Amino acid sequence: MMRFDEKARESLEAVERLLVRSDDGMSEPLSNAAASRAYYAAYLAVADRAQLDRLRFDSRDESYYRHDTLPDRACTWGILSNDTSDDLIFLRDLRVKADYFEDMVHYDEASEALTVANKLVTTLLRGSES
Amino acid sequence: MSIIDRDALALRVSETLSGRPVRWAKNVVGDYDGRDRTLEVFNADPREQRELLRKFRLLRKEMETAVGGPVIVIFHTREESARLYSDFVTKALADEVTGDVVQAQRTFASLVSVLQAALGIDRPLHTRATVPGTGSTALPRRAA
Repeated sequence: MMRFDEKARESLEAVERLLVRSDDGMSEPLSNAAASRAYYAAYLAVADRAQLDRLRFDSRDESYYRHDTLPDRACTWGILSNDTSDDLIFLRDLRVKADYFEDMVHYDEASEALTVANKLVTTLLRGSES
Repeated sequence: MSIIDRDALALRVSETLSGRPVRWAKNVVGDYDGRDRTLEVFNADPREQRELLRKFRLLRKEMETAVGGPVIVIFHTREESARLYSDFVTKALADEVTGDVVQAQRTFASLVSVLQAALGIDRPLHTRATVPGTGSTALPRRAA
């Protein structure tokens, strides 16, 4: 069994730092990186819970939980509700845009991703501390 | 699933999402789970995306059964739709307007038929079968 809770929390903190906009203009938000990391924060929190429940990785080589099916599977496993499954879908799809499409993720999208990921990570890791 | 069926599904999503242009993503650089089941939705600003996802939820299961797995939905903001995808968005919106015009023409023709029937003027013009006309379209000469 692997634990991913600390990495989930660190990813969340990274998102907050990536979205900082300083008053002196020296630091600009990095919305693409923030959106991508927000998804991984949530993914790692779900993966941590799944590992605690000894659920096997389901990628072809059994080395990770598939990203496309995880929201549904986590719902089936009782880790996510229908609503939080939708939250993970939102984060997953925004991450695909951030990493694979030419679009620049808007600050408001990344900011929403931080809010959603924060809620997911906080809820999932509550009561499952190492 | 055929390309036509996939396009029909994209059209249904477009109708569900208030007519926003929608298409299946092609030639995406890189690889990710669900790459061949990625749907692009255009003119969707950040504040609208969660609501659009809620609307899409109504179709999600049916779509996923049809395409064989979870659908990835990419929302392009209005700004990025115009900057990066203007050719597609312009054509999609033009096609939608053309469709509306064709539909309006059909509706009008149908209304005319109903009106003609109601007024009793829906009979076809009588065609003379035996005595042909002169064929002359000249006005009659005035007597000198």
